[in-house]
Amino acid sequence: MAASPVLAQEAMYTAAATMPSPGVSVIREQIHYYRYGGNPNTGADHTDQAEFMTSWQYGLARGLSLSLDVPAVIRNTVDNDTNDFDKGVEDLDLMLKYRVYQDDSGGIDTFRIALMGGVAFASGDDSDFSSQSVNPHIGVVATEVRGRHGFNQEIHYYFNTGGDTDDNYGGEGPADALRLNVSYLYRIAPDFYRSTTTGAWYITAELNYLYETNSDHDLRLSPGLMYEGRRFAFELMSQFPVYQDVEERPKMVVGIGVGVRFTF
Amino acid sequence: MKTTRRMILAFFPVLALTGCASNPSNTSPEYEERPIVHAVSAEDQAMAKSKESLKTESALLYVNGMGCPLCASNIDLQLIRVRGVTKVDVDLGIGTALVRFGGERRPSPYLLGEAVADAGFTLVKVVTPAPDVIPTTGGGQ
Repeated sequence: MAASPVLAQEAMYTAAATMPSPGVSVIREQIHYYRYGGNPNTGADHTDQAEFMTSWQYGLARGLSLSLDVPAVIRNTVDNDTNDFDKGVEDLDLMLKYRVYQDDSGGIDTFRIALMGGVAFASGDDSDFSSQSVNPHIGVVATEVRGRHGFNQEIHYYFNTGGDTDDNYGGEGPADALRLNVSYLYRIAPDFYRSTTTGAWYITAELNYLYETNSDHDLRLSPGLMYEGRRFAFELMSQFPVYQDVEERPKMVVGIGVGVRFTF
Repeated sequence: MKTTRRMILAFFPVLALTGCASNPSNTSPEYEERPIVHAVSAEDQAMAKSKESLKTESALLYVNGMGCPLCASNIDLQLIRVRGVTKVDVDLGIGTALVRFGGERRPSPYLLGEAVADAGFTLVKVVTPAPDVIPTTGGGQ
């Protein structure tokens, strides 16, 4: 559900073609809350889900990084006024990101493209959370920064080999999933960088499209706010459905996310 | 076929958004921040690739691609690992890194350029020694 861990110029749900340099680590902690509507498979009225995503990204070499995502989830399913609490760990995700193109055309202007490939694999938890399978995924992301404006566009395909229809809240199988994400970041402060600049505020807007090979697909709008310092970043995001043609899983009602990143 | 058409329609706003944004020669009034363009001569390019050790106490590196504060942390973490480098001050306003040296050994511009490339950026010019007065406001040429 959440974007993979990354470094700079990245919004919450869309990857960027940026990565830590060799020997540098980035730890990213995110908390996402989602409310989903009725589940067509189980008949549940609605579901509230909090996802605690811990991500670690490490620079292996120039333009090459490795990341690991560990998503812990608390889920409350409401059915006929009966609450069913459950908690667990969803599939872990191991991913390589490799920068294949870079054009630094000015002091703060750049255009980059990176390839991504990895696997989501069973966490060892039960099928309520883990897919009990190994699911490869590949993607490509382009990032462009022009002055105060930043753009990211990501295409990612997930070959889902497992997963449970009852516990699919979007892209978690058993159908394959295609994600198309785009984000725009606008630096609201400072107006222009100075020698004393140590941080910057951005407003962000994302469009997140998910298509599953069972023909379910939806488009979400995710406005947010982000602060980037030199060693950390803070991000706040919300997510709203724009269009949903979903029959095999619950529809999303609303999503909220908050996160921090540290580099060292 | 129907599914493919749906996907294209759904992603159209995405394509439109990035298509509008991908023009680097944007000179419209809303482009508040003038791009930082480092003037680089053939001599500068040759100097930036030199493998001869520097002999000064400092150097001013002109770097392209540093678009955000987190970028700055990447570049100073790499430059400080270069043998002979004791201090790094990154100025996003003018796209530079002021590097100070200590000890007997000094790095070459080539080694500094490799560290900058490891950080994910492009070294375009090295000025030695670093000028006493460095411009402090950004967005200029």
